Amino acid sequence: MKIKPKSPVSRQIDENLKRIYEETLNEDLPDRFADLLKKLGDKSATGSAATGSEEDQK
Amino acid sequence: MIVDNTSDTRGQLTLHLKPMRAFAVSLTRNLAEADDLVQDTIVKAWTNADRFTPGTNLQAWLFTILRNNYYSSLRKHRREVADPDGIHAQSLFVKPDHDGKLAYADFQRAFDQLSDEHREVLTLVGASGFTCEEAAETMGVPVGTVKSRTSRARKRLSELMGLAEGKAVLDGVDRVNDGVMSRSGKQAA
Repeated sequence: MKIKPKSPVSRQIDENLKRIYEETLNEDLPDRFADLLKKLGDKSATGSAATGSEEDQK
Repeated sequence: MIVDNTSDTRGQLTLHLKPMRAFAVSLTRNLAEADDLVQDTIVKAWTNADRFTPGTNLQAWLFTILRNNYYSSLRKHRREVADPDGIHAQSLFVKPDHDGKLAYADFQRAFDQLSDEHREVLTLVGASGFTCEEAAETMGVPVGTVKSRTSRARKRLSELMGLAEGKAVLDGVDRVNDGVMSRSGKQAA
């Protein structure tokens, strides 16, 4: 539901907002996140005792 | 069952890291802070993955964790405005003679000066592609609040840039945008 037709200023704002967002969106991720996810994955694979609750499968 | 959903949710985290980071940068306006925020969000999402309802919007769920994290750490530490340059240094390597360069620099400065809530709503609704409903869910406010906050934020942003939305003060900028093709060879710096 669009509120009202876009003025040129309004359009500029939209474009610039997208640009700010997309600049980061298009950047490569730092390795730390993949490392973290891997560490979390390893931990829940081995250390099932740590949290326990969700590991009572099988 | 629950176990499968939990690991599904965890497995999908990686798909949302870039949007999370973009949202975090919009909130913090500082890359180092943003990355810490994403890191905390990953840990929280991982730990609480069983609480995510499958079939609902995972990105909105993650954004909710992220922004709640941000606001609660703001409350704890109160923002150290130490390094607004972090983000500017980052943005500076954007192609210098991109169209609308001047407007963009001004825009970023104005955007930095908005309140957190205004940056948040503009990012969610204006940039991330969230609907008002998704933004409302993420922010934990009614849809009407999202809409009114959005229009106040846009107005404020225009004021900060010395523009009035609706007025044709931007003619210079528009001309730059439209005329880029014809004079793109011009050296900017």
